[in-house]
Amino acid sequence: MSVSATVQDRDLSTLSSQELMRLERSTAEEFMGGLPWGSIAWAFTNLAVWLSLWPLTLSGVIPLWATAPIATLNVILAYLPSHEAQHRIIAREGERLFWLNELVGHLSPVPMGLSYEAARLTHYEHHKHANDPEFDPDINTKSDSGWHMIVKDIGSQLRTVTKMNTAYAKALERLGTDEARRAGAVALIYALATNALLFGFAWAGYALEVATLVWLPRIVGGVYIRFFLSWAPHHPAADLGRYRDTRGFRSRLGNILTMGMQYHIIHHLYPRMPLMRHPAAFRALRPILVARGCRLDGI
Amino acid sequence: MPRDSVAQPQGGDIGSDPPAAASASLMGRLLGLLLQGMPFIFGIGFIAPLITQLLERALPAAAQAQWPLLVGLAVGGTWGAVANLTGRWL
Repeated sequence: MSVSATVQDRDLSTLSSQELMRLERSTAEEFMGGLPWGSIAWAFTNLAVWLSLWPLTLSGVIPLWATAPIATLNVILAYLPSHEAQHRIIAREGERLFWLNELVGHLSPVPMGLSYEAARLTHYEHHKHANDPEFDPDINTKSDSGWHMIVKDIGSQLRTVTKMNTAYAKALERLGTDEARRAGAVALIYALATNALLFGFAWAGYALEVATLVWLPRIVGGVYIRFFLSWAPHHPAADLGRYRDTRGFRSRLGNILTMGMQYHIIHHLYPRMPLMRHPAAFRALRPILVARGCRLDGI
Repeated sequence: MPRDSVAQPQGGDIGSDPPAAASASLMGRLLGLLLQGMPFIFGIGFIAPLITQLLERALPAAAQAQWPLLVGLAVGGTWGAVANLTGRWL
Protein backbone atom coordinates (compact mmCIF):
# COMPACT_ATOMS: atom_id res chain seq x y z
CA MET A 1 0.00 0.00 0.00
CA SER A 2 1.39 3.45 -0.87
CA VAL A 3 2.12 6.07 1.78
CA SER A 4 -0.57 8.34 0.39
CA ALA A 5 -3.20 5.60 0.81
CA THR A 6 -2.26 5.19 4.47
CA VAL A 7 -2.64 8.95 5.13
CA GLN A 8 -6.35 8.71 4.33
CA ASP A 9 -6.95 6.05 6.99
CA ARG A 10 -4.80 7.35 9.83
CA ASP A 11 -5.81 9.36 12.84
CA LEU A 12 -3.45 12.28 12.39
CA SER A 13 -4.42 13.96 15.64
CA THR A 14 -2.18 11.57 17.57
CA LEU A 15 0.94 12.52 15.59
CA SER A 16 3.50 15.07 16.75
CA SER A 17 4.42 17.96 14.44
CA GLN A 18 7.63 16.19 13.43
CA GLU A 19 5.83 12.92 12.68
CA LEU A 20 3.29 14.82 10.63
CA MET A 21 6.09 16.49 8.68
CA ARG A 22 7.76 13.12 8.01
CA LEU A 23 4.45 11.69 6.78
CA GLU A 24 3.84 14.77 4.62
CA ARG A 25 7.29 14.53 3.02
CA SER A 26 7.08 10.80 2.34
CA THR A 27 3.61 11.26 0.80
CA ALA A 28 4.77 14.17 -1.37
CA GLU A 29 7.83 12.18 -2.46
CA GLU A 30 5.54 9.85 -4.45
CA PHE A 31 4.64 12.75 -6.76
CA MET A 32 8.11 14.19 -7.32
CA GLY A 33 10.55 13.60 -10.16
CA GLY A 34 10.14 12.51 -13.76
CA LEU A 35 10.18 14.61 -16.88
CA PRO A 36 7.05 16.81 -17.22
CA TRP A 37 6.47 16.05 -20.92
CA GLY A 38 3.02 17.62 -20.79
CA SER A 39 4.44 21.02 -19.83
CA ILE A 40 7.25 20.75 -22.41
CA ALA A 41 4.79 19.93 -25.22
CA TRP A 42 2.47 22.69 -23.96
CA ALA A 43 5.31 25.26 -24.15
CA PHE A 44 6.35 24.50 -27.73
CA THR A 45 2.81 23.97 -29.07
CA ASN A 46 1.63 27.26 -27.61
CA LEU A 47 4.64 29.14 -28.99
CA ALA A 48 4.21 27.52 -32.42
CA VAL A 49 0.54 28.55 -32.56
CA TRP A 50 1.38 32.13 -31.56
CA LEU A 51 4.22 32.38 -34.11
CA SER A 52 1.96 30.91 -36.83
CA LEU A 53 -0.60 33.60 -36.08
CA TRP A 54 1.81 36.29 -37.30
CA PRO A 55 1.94 35.41 -41.01
CA LEU A 56 -1.67 34.23 -40.99
CA THR A 57 -2.89 37.51 -39.49
CA LEU A 58 -0.60 39.86 -41.40
CA SER A 59 -1.57 38.23 -44.68
CA GLY A 60 -5.27 38.46 -43.82
CA VAL A 61 -5.86 34.67 -43.84
CA ILE A 62 -7.16 34.88 -40.27
CA PRO A 63 -9.45 37.84 -39.48
CA LEU A 64 -8.58 40.10 -36.55
CA TRP A 65 -11.65 39.05 -34.56
CA ALA A 66 -10.30 35.48 -34.58
CA THR A 67 -6.68 36.45 -33.92
CA ALA A 68 -7.46 38.41 -30.76
CA PRO A 69 -8.89 35.52 -28.67
CA ILE A 70 -6.30 33.00 -29.93
CA ALA A 71 -3.40 35.34 -29.16
CA THR A 72 -4.93 36.11 -25.74
CA LEU A 73 -5.11 32.39 -25.02
CA ASN A 74 -1.46 32.08 -26.12
CA VAL A 75 -0.46 34.78 -23.63
CA ILE A 76 -2.47 33.11 -20.85
CA LEU A 77 -0.83 29.75 -21.60
CA ALA A 78 2.68 31.17 -21.97
CA TYR A 79 3.61 31.50 -18.31
CA LEU A 80 3.22 28.12 -16.62
CA PRO A 81 5.72 26.02 -18.63
CA SER A 82 8.31 28.72 -17.93
CA HIS A 83 7.28 28.54 -14.27
CA GLU A 84 8.14 24.82 -14.30
CA ALA A 85 11.55 25.78 -15.71
CA GLN A 86 12.02 28.54 -13.13
CA HIS A 87 11.82 25.85 -10.45
CA ARG A 88 14.15 23.55 -12.43
CA ILE A 89 11.44 20.92 -12.60
CA ILE A 90 12.47 19.75 -16.09
CA ALA A 91 16.13 19.47 -15.06
CA ARG A 92 18.50 20.98 -12.52
CA GLU A 93 21.78 22.74 -13.28
CA GLY A 94 24.40 20.11 -14.13
CA GLU A 95 21.82 17.52 -15.25
CA ARG A 96 21.74 16.20 -18.81
CA LEU A 97 18.51 17.98 -19.82
CA PHE A 98 19.22 21.33 -18.18
CA TRP A 99 19.45 22.86 -21.66
CA LEU A 100 15.82 21.82 -22.25
CA ASN A 101 14.79 23.37 -18.94
CA GLU A 102 16.38 26.67 -19.97
CA LEU A 103 15.00 26.48 -23.51
CA VAL A 104 11.45 26.07 -22.17
CA GLY A 105 12.10 28.79 -19.60
CA HIS A 106 13.23 31.31 -22.21
CA LEU A 107 10.92 30.44 -25.13
CA SER A 108 7.61 29.70 -23.44
CA PRO A 109 6.98 33.26 -22.14
CA VAL A 110 7.84 34.94 -25.47
CA PRO A 111 4.14 35.69 -26.29
CA MET A 112 3.86 37.64 -23.03
CA GLY A 113 7.22 39.39 -23.48
CA LEU A 114 8.53 38.13 -20.15
CA SER A 115 12.23 37.81 -19.45
CA TYR A 116 12.93 34.37 -17.95
CA GLU A 117 15.77 35.33 -15.61
CA ALA A 118 13.94 38.33 -14.15
CA ALA A 119 10.83 36.18 -13.72
CA ARG A 120 12.84 33.40 -12.05
CA LEU A 121 14.64 35.63 -9.57
CA THR A 122 11.58 37.66 -8.60
CA HIS A 123 9.47 34.50 -8.36
CA TYR A 124 11.94 33.01 -5.88
CA GLU A 125 11.50 36.19 -3.84
CA HIS A 126 7.73 35.63 -3.95
CA HIS A 127 8.20 32.12 -2.56
CA LYS A 128 10.57 33.34 0.12
CA HIS A 129 8.31 36.18 1.24
CA ALA A 130 4.79 35.15 0.14
CA ASN A 131 2.22 37.72 1.40
CA ASP A 132 4.86 39.87 3.07
CA PRO A 133 3.66 43.43 2.42
CA GLU A 134 7.22 44.70 2.08
CA PHE A 135 9.13 41.93 0.33
CA ASP A 136 6.65 39.87 -1.73
CA PRO A 137 6.91 41.28 -5.29
CA ASP A 138 3.43 39.88 -6.07
CA ILE A 139 1.70 41.52 -3.10
CA ASN A 140 0.10 44.17 -5.36
CA THR A 141 -2.60 41.69 -6.40
CA LYS A 142 -3.88 41.60 -2.79
CA SER A 143 -7.51 42.76 -2.92
CA ASP A 144 -10.76 42.43 -0.98
CA SER A 145 -12.53 40.37 -3.66
CA GLY A 146 -12.15 39.06 -7.20
CA TRP A 147 -13.87 42.09 -8.73
CA HIS A 148 -11.80 44.44 -6.61
CA MET A 149 -8.67 42.72 -7.91
CA ILE A 150 -9.75 43.13 -11.56
CA VAL A 151 -10.63 46.83 -11.16
CA LYS A 152 -7.38 47.46 -9.26
CA ASP A 153 -5.33 45.61 -11.87
CA ILE A 154 -6.85 47.55 -14.77
CA GLY A 155 -6.21 50.77 -12.84
CA SER A 156 -2.61 49.75 -12.36
CA GLN A 157 -2.18 49.01 -16.07
CA LEU A 158 -3.30 52.54 -16.86
CA ARG A 159 -0.19 53.87 -15.16
CA THR A 160 2.80 54.50 -17.40
CA VAL A 161 4.95 52.56 -14.90
CA THR A 162 2.92 49.79 -13.25
CA LYS A 163 3.20 49.01 -9.53
CA MET A 164 3.97 45.42 -10.51
CA ASN A 165 7.03 46.40 -12.56
CA THR A 166 8.19 48.70 -9.79
CA ALA A 167 7.92 45.83 -7.28
CA TYR A 168 9.88 43.47 -9.55
CA ALA A 169 12.61 46.05 -10.14
CA LYS A 170 12.84 46.68 -6.39
CA ALA A 171 13.15 42.94 -5.75
CA LEU A 172 16.03 42.69 -8.24
CA GLU A 173 17.67 45.75 -6.75
CA ARG A 174 17.33 44.29 -3.25
CA LEU A 175 19.01 41.09 -4.42
CA GLY A 176 21.87 43.26 -5.67
CA THR A 177 23.79 40.41 -7.34
CA ASP A 178 25.39 40.51 -10.79
CA GLU A 179 22.80 37.96 -11.86
CA ALA A 180 19.97 40.25 -10.72
CA ARG A 181 21.51 43.27 -12.49
CA ARG A 182 21.85 41.23 -15.68
CA ALA A 183 18.25 40.02 -15.36
CA GLY A 184 17.07 43.63 -14.95
CA ALA A 185 19.04 44.71 -18.04
CA VAL A 186 17.60 41.83 -20.11
CA ALA A 187 14.08 42.69 -18.94
CA LEU A 188 14.67 46.27 -20.07
CA ILE A 189 15.90 45.06 -23.47
CA TYR A 190 12.74 42.91 -23.77
CA ALA A 191 10.55 45.94 -23.02
CA LEU A 192 12.40 48.12 -25.55
CA ALA A 193 12.36 45.35 -28.18
CA THR A 194 8.60 44.88 -27.71
CA ASN A 195 8.02 48.59 -28.24
CA ALA A 196 10.34 48.62 -31.27
CA LEU A 197 8.37 45.69 -32.72
CA LEU A 198 5.04 47.44 -32.12
CA PHE A 199 6.27 50.74 -33.59
CA GLY A 200 7.85 49.07 -36.62
CA PHE A 201 4.80 47.03 -37.58
CA ALA A 202 2.41 49.87 -36.75
CA TRP A 203 4.18 52.37 -39.05
CA ALA A 204 4.47 49.69 -41.75
CA GLY A 205 0.65 49.67 -41.88
CA TYR A 206 -0.06 46.76 -39.52
CA ALA A 207 -1.06 48.66 -36.36
CA LEU A 208 -4.37 46.83 -35.90
CA GLU A 209 -2.69 43.50 -36.58
CA VAL A 210 0.02 43.94 -33.93
CA ALA A 211 -2.56 45.38 -31.54
CA THR A 212 -4.48 42.10 -31.79
CA LEU A 213 -1.36 39.89 -31.81
CA VAL A 214 0.57 41.53 -28.98
CA TRP A 215 -0.84 44.64 -27.33
CA LEU A 216 -4.43 43.70 -26.40
CA PRO A 217 -3.66 40.03 -25.58
CA ARG A 218 -0.97 41.09 -23.12
CA ILE A 219 -3.37 43.47 -21.36
CA VAL A 220 -6.30 41.00 -21.17
CA GLY A 221 -4.15 37.88 -20.65
CA GLY A 222 -2.15 39.68 -18.00
CA VAL A 223 -5.28 40.31 -15.92
CA TYR A 224 -6.26 36.62 -16.23
CA ILE A 225 -2.78 35.42 -15.23
CA ARG A 226 -2.54 37.71 -12.22
CA PHE A 227 -6.08 36.81 -11.17
CA PHE A 228 -5.65 33.03 -11.19
CA LEU A 229 -1.93 32.65 -10.60
CA SER A 230 -1.46 35.33 -8.00
CA TRP A 231 -4.64 36.71 -6.43
CA ALA A 232 -6.84 33.59 -6.19
CA PRO A 233 -4.35 31.16 -4.56
CA HIS A 234 -3.11 33.72 -2.03
CA HIS A 235 -6.38 35.47 -1.18
CA PRO A 236 -6.81 37.05 1.37
CA ALA A 237 -2.99 37.28 1.47
CA ALA A 238 -3.13 38.13 5.16
CA ASP A 239 -1.11 35.30 6.71
CA LEU A 240 2.53 34.32 6.46
CA GLY A 241 4.09 30.90 6.93
CA ARG A 242 4.33 27.52 5.22
CA TYR A 243 0.75 26.41 5.79
CA ARG A 244 -1.01 29.79 5.69
CA ASP A 245 0.44 31.88 2.86
CA THR A 246 -1.36 29.93 0.10
CA ARG A 247 -4.79 28.33 -0.02
CA GLY A 248 -6.69 25.65 -1.90
CA PHE A 249 -9.91 26.90 -3.47
CA ARG A 250 -12.71 25.68 -5.69
CA SER A 251 -13.41 27.77 -8.77
CA ARG A 252 -16.57 27.60 -10.87
CA LEU A 253 -14.22 27.48 -13.89
CA GLY A 254 -12.75 24.16 -12.74
CA ASN A 255 -9.18 22.92 -12.75
CA ILE A 256 -8.24 23.31 -16.43
CA LEU A 257 -9.58 26.84 -16.89
CA THR A 258 -7.82 27.94 -13.71
CA MET A 259 -4.68 26.23 -15.01
CA GLY A 260 -4.37 23.99 -11.94
CA MET A 261 -4.30 26.89 -9.52
CA GLN A 262 -6.97 25.41 -7.25
CA TYR A 263 -4.13 23.25 -5.90
CA HIS A 264 -1.45 25.96 -5.83
CA ILE A 265 -0.95 25.32 -2.11
CA ILE A 266 0.88 22.14 -3.13
CA HIS A 267 3.27 24.19 -5.26
CA HIS A 268 4.22 26.43 -2.33
CA LEU A 269 4.83 23.38 -0.14
CA TYR A 270 6.76 21.46 -2.82
CA PRO A 271 7.92 23.93 -5.53
CA ARG A 272 9.71 21.24 -7.58
CA MET A 273 6.63 19.02 -7.96
CA PRO A 274 5.35 19.06 -11.59
CA LEU A 275 2.15 21.09 -12.04
CA MET A 276 0.21 18.21 -13.56
CA ARG A 277 0.67 16.11 -10.43
CA HIS A 278 -0.75 18.76 -8.08
CA PRO A 279 -4.37 17.49 -8.10
CA ALA A 280 -3.38 13.92 -7.14
CA ALA A 281 -0.84 15.15 -4.59
CA PHE A 282 -3.48 17.44 -3.09
CA ARG A 283 -5.92 14.56 -2.67
CA ALA A 284 -3.21 12.45 -1.02
CA LEU A 285 -2.03 15.24 1.27
CA ARG A 286 -5.43 16.76 2.09
CA PRO A 287 -5.80 15.19 5.58
CA ILE A 288 -2.38 16.53 6.54
CA LEU A 289 -3.25 19.99 5.21
CA VAL A 290 -6.44 19.93 7.29
CA ALA A 291 -4.44 18.86 10.35
CA ARG A 292 -2.05 21.75 9.70
CA GLY A 293 -4.91 24.26 9.60
CA CYS A 294 -4.51 25.16 5.94
CA ARG A 295 -7.18 27.22 4.25
CA LEU A 296 -9.01 24.93 1.80
CA ASP A 297 -11.95 26.92 0.47
CA GLY A 298 -14.48 24.40 -0.79
CA ILE A 299 -11.99 21.89 -2.17
CA MET B 1 10.55 47.84 -16.20
CA PRO B 2 11.04 50.99 -14.11
CA ARG B 3 13.72 53.29 -15.22
CA ASP B 4 15.63 53.86 -11.96
CA SER B 5 16.71 50.30 -11.31
CA VAL B 6 17.88 49.33 -14.72
CA ALA B 7 19.16 52.53 -16.19
CA GLN B 8 21.93 52.97 -13.65
CA PRO B 9 25.22 53.58 -15.38
CA GLN B 10 27.75 50.83 -14.86
CA GLY B 11 31.42 51.36 -14.12
CA GLY B 12 33.07 54.35 -12.45
CA ASP B 13 34.61 52.30 -9.63
CA ILE B 14 38.18 52.92 -8.53
CA GLY B 15 40.45 51.30 -11.05
CA SER B 16 37.90 51.12 -13.85
CA ASP B 17 38.82 52.38 -17.27
CA PRO B 18 37.76 56.09 -17.32
CA PRO B 19 36.69 56.32 -21.00
CA ALA B 20 34.70 53.08 -20.64
CA ALA B 21 33.07 54.39 -17.47
CA ALA B 22 32.24 57.71 -19.15
CA SER B 23 30.73 55.99 -22.17
CA ALA B 24 28.71 53.65 -19.92
CA SER B 25 27.52 56.68 -17.98
CA LEU B 26 26.50 58.45 -21.20
CA MET B 27 24.66 55.29 -22.30
CA GLY B 28 22.89 55.21 -18.97
CA ARG B 29 21.83 58.84 -19.27
CA LEU B 30 20.61 58.36 -22.83
CA LEU B 31 18.69 55.27 -21.78
CA GLY B 32 17.21 57.18 -18.85
CA LEU B 33 16.05 59.94 -21.20
CA LEU B 34 14.59 57.38 -23.60
CA LEU B 35 12.65 55.69 -20.80
CA GLN B 36 11.45 58.98 -19.34
CA GLY B 37 10.01 59.93 -22.71
CA MET B 38 8.60 56.46 -23.43
CA PRO B 39 4.88 57.32 -23.01
CA PHE B 40 5.23 60.13 -25.56
CA ILE B 41 7.26 57.88 -27.88
CA PHE B 42 4.57 55.20 -27.49
CA GLY B 43 1.90 57.77 -28.38
CA ILE B 44 3.70 58.68 -31.60
CA GLY B 45 5.12 55.23 -32.32
CA PHE B 46 2.03 53.10 -31.77
CA ILE B 47 -1.15 55.01 -30.90
CA ALA B 48 -0.79 57.42 -33.84
CA PRO B 49 -0.59 54.75 -36.58
CA LEU B 50 -3.27 52.72 -34.77
CA ILE B 51 -5.71 55.64 -34.86
CA THR B 52 -4.74 56.35 -38.48
CA GLN B 53 -5.46 52.76 -39.50
CA LEU B 54 -8.74 52.71 -37.55
CA LEU B 55 -9.91 55.87 -39.32
CA GLU B 56 -8.92 54.50 -42.73
CA ARG B 57 -10.81 51.24 -42.05
CA ALA B 58 -13.88 53.04 -40.70
CA LEU B 59 -13.94 55.61 -43.52
CA PRO B 60 -12.61 53.96 -46.71
CA ALA B 61 -13.06 57.23 -48.61
CA ALA B 62 -10.39 58.79 -46.39
CA ALA B 63 -7.82 56.08 -47.13
CA GLN B 64 -5.92 58.22 -49.67
CA ALA B 65 -6.21 61.46 -47.70
CA GLN B 66 -3.61 62.93 -45.35
CA TRP B 67 -5.98 63.92 -42.56
CA PRO B 68 -6.27 60.48 -40.85
CA LEU B 69 -2.48 60.53 -40.37
CA LEU B 70 -2.59 64.09 -39.02
CA VAL B 71 -5.42 63.20 -36.63
CA GLY B 72 -3.50 60.08 -35.53
CA LEU B 73 -0.34 62.07 -34.84
CA ALA B 74 -2.25 64.81 -33.03
CA VAL B 75 -4.24 62.43 -30.81
CA GLY B 76 -1.36 59.96 -30.25
CA GLY B 77 1.17 62.70 -29.58
CA THR B 78 -1.09 64.64 -27.22
CA TRP B 79 -2.21 61.50 -25.37
CA GLY B 80 1.39 60.33 -24.96
CA ALA B 81 2.56 63.77 -23.81
CA VAL B 82 -0.23 64.00 -21.21
CA ALA B 83 0.57 60.45 -20.03
CA ASN B 84 4.21 61.49 -19.78
CA LEU B 85 3.30 64.42 -17.54
CA THR B 86 0.67 62.73 -15.36
CA GLY B 87 2.07 59.18 -15.21
CA ARG B 88 -1.31 57.76 -16.27
CA TRP B 89 -2.88 56.83 -19.61
CA LEU B 90 -6.38 57.71 -18.39
